[in-house]
Amino acid sequence: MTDNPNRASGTVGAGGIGAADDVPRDGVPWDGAAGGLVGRGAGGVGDAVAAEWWKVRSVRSTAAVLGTVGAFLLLCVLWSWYVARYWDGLPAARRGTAQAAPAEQPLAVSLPVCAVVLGALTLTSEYSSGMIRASLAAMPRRGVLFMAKGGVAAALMGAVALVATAAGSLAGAAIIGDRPVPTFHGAAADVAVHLLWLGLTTAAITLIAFGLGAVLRSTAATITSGMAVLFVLPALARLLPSPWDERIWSALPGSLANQIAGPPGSSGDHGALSPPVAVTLLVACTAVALGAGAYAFARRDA
Amino acid sequence: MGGALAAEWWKLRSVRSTYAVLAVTAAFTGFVVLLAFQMAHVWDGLAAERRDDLLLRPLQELGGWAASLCLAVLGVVSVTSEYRTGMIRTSLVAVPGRRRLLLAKAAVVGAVALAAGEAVTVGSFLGTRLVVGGRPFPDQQAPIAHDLPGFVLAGTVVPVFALLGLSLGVLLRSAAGAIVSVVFVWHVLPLLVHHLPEPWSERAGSVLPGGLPTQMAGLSAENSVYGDLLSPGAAAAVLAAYALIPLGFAAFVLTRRDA
Repeated sequence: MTDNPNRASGTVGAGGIGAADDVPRDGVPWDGAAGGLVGRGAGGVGDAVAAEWWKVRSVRSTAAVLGTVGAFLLLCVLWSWYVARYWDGLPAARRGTAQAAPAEQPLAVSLPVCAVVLGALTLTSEYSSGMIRASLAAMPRRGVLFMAKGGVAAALMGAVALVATAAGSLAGAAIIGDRPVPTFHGAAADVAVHLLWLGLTTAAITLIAFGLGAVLRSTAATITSGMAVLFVLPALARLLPSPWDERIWSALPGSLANQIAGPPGSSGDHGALSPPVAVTLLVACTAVALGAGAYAFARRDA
Repeated sequence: MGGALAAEWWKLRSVRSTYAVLAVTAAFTGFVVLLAFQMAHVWDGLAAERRDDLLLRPLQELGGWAASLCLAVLGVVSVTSEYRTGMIRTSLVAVPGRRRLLLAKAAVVGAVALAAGEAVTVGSFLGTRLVVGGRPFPDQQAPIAHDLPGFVLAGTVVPVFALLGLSLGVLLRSAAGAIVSVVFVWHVLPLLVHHLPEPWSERAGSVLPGGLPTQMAGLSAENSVYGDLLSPGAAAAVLAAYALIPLGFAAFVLTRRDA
């Protein structure tokens, strides 16, 4: 394949699926010692990630998604305030049994939707504008481009989810104060684990939508499919015959986060799966979607 | 106007997404009927006193609920795909009267959505009735002719969602933005409204589009996230407003913006 062992290992190590050409770009001979995995010049993984980061930063849709997350963070604050008011109005006898969704609940509902939109648009917007051809001209190694895109989208969405849910949860705790509402007074470690998994599931859903977008190459189809998985399938699964309604509902991506680490203090039914099984399923879903997307992306003409 | 209508009909007929949407809608209706077999099976296995709790109506209403989303997506992509490909410029050269173009699009999409919506809601009702046969489900005692008008009315929410999607497509000119906004109205907003404090959850739930057909039929909104405070006439007026007011905004914006 090549007479330069560094070059060959660099390509394979970066997960290159597409054709790795052996001609050094922009006239600079490949220097394994200086470049390595984080290559310099055109074609490096670092540059691909930087380019994708620049793209995701500079489009309006990212701002819209982040604005939506911000709006739902505000809703978390409103919800906590409402729970505090509601609690004060409750007679003492009913406080023991009262249930209230935790502060981050509005975000937990909306983050999967935001993740689907951001993950889908990362690739499908380039197909609708034709930008994908310029991207592939600049970065012909399709596997690297694919992973850079998915990685940047998932990292951004995961980080946003972590920051927003942490802010929502802290604001909720501050607003509720010392009122003993169970869902607002989980142990700090439990809350941290719950929020961490909420963020990781959001990142995983971003990757699933991203892989689906690579297969479908259509914004409308990808987002609609994502919404169907998040909203229509759970309702359908609930109508299935008895052991299967619970099983299938539990296995849907939207229900996994709470089965891995549910909100502390909540007594609701989160599903039938144990945390390790749910984690495995989440990883498997992500791997299948990414694999199918990478295969379609590498094999099809843009 | 005839030419504009014919052109829009031709466009809708000749793109793949129309068939994808209609196929998903039909498949969903088929799935609802399949689930009715399962319900009939459960009914046969239940003790007599527990049969009073087994309702068929939630299943029957599922078809129209899913069709609303599918046809709303059709309404969205009927506009945004033209903006994405640049076809909108050709369309506007061919039909320079922008209101006329929008009206033709709305008429064609609305008619297709109405036909699909009625087919799905009436089909789910008659199909599930046929499947359960003579089993006296507690909410299926009335003769078919008595319940049918309610399902015909339920079908009218489908074109309203389709026109809402079309208007949002014109306003936002982005498939992603418009589809997410439609999903917000279709699913997220009812859930949020349901969690409002007491008198307001019912008040706001009464004016959401998904809850209007039951109020038009004069039925109660028991077991649903919606309210039932409106009279049938008022509910019909609100439902029409959901289609016409966004369409008015869309016409206003379309005549003033560059394509």
